[in-house]
Amino acid sequence: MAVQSKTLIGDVGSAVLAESVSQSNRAAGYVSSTVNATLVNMLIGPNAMVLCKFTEDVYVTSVVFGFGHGGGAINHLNDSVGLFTGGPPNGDGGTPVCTATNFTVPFPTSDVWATMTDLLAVSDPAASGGSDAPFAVNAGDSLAGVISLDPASTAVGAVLSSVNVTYRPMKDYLVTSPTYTRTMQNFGSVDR
Amino acid sequence: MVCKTKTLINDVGSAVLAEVTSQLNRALSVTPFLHFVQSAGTAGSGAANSSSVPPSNNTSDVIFVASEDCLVTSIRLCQTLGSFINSVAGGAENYMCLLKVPSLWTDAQGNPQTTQCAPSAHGDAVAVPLGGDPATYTLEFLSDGTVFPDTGFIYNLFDIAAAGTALSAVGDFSGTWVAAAGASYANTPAVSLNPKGISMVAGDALLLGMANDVVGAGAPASTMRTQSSIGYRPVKDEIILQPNFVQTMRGYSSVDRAEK
Repeated sequence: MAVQSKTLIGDVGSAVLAESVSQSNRAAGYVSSTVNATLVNMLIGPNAMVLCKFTEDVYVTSVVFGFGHGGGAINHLNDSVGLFTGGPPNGDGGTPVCTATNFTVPFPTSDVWATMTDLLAVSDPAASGGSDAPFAVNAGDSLAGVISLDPASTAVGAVLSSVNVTYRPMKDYLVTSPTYTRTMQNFGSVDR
Repeated sequence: MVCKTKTLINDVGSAVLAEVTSQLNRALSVTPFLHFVQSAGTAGSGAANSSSVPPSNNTSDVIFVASEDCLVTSIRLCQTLGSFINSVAGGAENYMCLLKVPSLWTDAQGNPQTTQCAPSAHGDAVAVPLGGDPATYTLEFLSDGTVFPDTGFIYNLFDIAAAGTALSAVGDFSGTWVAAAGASYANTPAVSLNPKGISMVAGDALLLGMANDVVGAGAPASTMRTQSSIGYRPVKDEIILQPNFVQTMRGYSSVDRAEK
């Protein structure tokens, strides 16, 4: 099985059902991992960590790295940050989803949130690959983050404080066709 | 956008659909218990990236980030054995606060902040109450330590009735993300959480601050270690059907849920 986008015949034509489907499609779950790891250089070992392991199919919509206070910039041509799925418990391995390598513009790591989109923007496109979330993770697969730093990188000694993962808890994305278009009356909406 | 409560004309009158919307409204996700980690190790606090809050220190940490709109309905906290904010001195000199900070925000002096975690992005201002205008963050909770349970209990911050007056005296939360080191700001009355929940807009973060008897005369608590778990509605909006479905249901059964 895999997460899918399903188009259903809107056989009821109900505004209530359309709204229910919309809410299901937009549901979001979060995994906040307190990593609190001091980054080491690749001669000592990889900075690899499993962020979460999903027991059922999910669709990951966001991964954000939270760097702590005082770290130097990721700035070396051998520096690399990536997301991987299906790897072992130590996080070192798996299938790459997205990697940013060779930071042509230094990326600061002191008190900042960073997405792979942010990191890809300052890395070498020729050495990087894949794209940031959203992406699917199959049931049973892990999601890992790996940061490899050259011994000469100024980011050695920086602290990765936390990682925040957002995913769709509803497996599939539902589309009803034809789209319900009847004008709704007496529709109320207030802040929850 | 914000989380909404939407009332819909019940155009189908289906018991099945009524049950589906009920389940959506009641959906709940919970983050695992995570150690509170002190992110900034500046004045008045211990070492950066430590989970310990020593006596006579203050600290802060981001405990939840909502990438999309959601409603936070519970904040479970636990001070581990031998370390609790209601200290042997009664806790009157200890403080806890919770801020909701948008991803793009200004501090109370009107200065735009570009990063949520920047050490200069404090929530205080000189002579302005915590959470006062023109700050774009929201003070959701502020209390002294007297109302917290003793050590070892897991409690819900929504169940805590905040206590104390003229809180946030000079020096409390100093050097954390809540207050700049050495900042002075006006006293603030105690604030309890809205029992209906905290409506989070995409990008909002919850920032928890603790002051372990920084300026008071009482004996400080021992080194505090805290864990937090956040409960939230993964389904953004609440759906109400009007009129309510009232048809008598037949052949409806219910048994304890189990795997097939």
